[in-house]
Amino acid sequence: MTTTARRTVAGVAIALALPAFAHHSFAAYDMEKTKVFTGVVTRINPDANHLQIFFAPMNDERKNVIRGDDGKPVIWAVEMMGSAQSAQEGISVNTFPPGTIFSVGLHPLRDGQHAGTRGRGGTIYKCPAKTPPAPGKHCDSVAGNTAYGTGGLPQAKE
Amino acid sequence: MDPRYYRCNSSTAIEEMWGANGDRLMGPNGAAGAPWGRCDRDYPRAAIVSPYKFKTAQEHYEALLAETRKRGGPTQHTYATVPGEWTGRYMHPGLTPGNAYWYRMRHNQVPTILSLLTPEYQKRMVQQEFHEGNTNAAQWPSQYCWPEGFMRRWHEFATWEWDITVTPSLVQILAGVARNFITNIHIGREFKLDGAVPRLGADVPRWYGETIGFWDHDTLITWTSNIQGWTVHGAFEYSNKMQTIEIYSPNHDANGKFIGLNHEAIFYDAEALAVPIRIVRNYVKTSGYEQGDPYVFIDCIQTIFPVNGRMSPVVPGSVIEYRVPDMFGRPWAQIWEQYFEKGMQKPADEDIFSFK
Repeated sequence: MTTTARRTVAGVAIALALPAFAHHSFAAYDMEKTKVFTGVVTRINPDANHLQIFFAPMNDERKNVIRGDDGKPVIWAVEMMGSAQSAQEGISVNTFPPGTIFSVGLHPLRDGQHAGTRGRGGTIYKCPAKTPPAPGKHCDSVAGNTAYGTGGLPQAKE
Repeated sequence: MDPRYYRCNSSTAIEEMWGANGDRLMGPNGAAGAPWGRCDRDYPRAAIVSPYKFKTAQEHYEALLAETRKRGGPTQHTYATVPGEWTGRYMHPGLTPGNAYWYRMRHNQVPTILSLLTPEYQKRMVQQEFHEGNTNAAQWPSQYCWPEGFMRRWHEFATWEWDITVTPSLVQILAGVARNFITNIHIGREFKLDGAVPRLGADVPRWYGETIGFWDHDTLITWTSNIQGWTVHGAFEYSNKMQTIEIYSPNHDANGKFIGLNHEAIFYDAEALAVPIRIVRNYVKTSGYEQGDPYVFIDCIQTIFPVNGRMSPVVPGSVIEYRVPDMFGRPWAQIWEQYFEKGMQKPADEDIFSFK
């Protein structure tokens, strides 16, 4: 009886530790790589399983965004935890409206498509409104930024 | 606005021009030969606009609560005192005799409805009427298993029977055809007021909102907020600012027997609505839960896809070109713009990508 009760408690503890990781496999992402972007939000999808931020990465000058051959902004997606969990961290459609400049580290898809997962940690930094960082810098360097999460902005790793 | 621009057809009549509900009304030459509706018929605007002085749902709810408190309320029901006769099944509101509420959109001149909306949402409704009437490219959300959205609960064929369950701390309303409408009314709770809109839970707009309420004896007063903006085909779009005050009161027959509910809903949406509006309906109770089919939770399996901008049932195994919808960017309008609005001139979008 005691053993069964202990096993149950342990099982619950494991489930609670990984609340957002039961919806899909993370094997599609290359968790060994980290890309760090500063970009402009184009849309947030506040889905129950995963909140997704779609954004246009900024160019190195931080004066505009990277554009494709057709002149249109290149769009990336970063997947977060569920929308309710993200909101607890302060990330929501109301705090990241289109036009928001932010910096994030993500683990990219293995197949090279423009999407990745934030994974289990790292801080997301939001720049003050309409205030991009200096060339080559990220929002963690801008005075008045807002930080979401802990651990600092991840380091890029290829 | 002149109703003759729409040949005096209601929004529902425009939907039915190409045969939305079976019989085609449109002549062989398309919109140029569209039949005329009744220019002498309209649902009066004054009967749609809220009769109350309140500008916001919060103001309205607080006034009703204060009034109830003055009388010694709100009533704190127990399982022994809660109006248990409410619990059970109610007739399809659209098929309930005498339930000619305006939101069925059958007897409304389009300009009358447009006059209720702000300029941006007028433009969006006109876009819908154009594609329903001219291009025959209806984009009804549930045809693609997209969400029905909060306001569809009031539309004619979005729900069938209603199941209402009353407890002291929660009143639940279940209904649905293509998707589930689950309204959980949290009795005695209060909204957090520190965000973009009042809410109970996380800062995440919910497709059907979050609802609190209180009892004034056998009348239930509710406030719904934190709603995801969306559209209702044949009606109009609404925004994330949509909130409602709803009042459920018992209806009795001449002998005092409970026969159902009167449901008054006042809609506040400062972004989409030029004025608050009201819908009043009656629900007739047909039975308890001891008989009839149980409520079936609906999982919508998509069988219809937009192909070349039009809804098309697709045979399993078929290969089609499919553009992933931008679900929070008016996906219906994106289909219209891609396939049926080429060459039309529009105002440029705000540039959010350049920084000096």
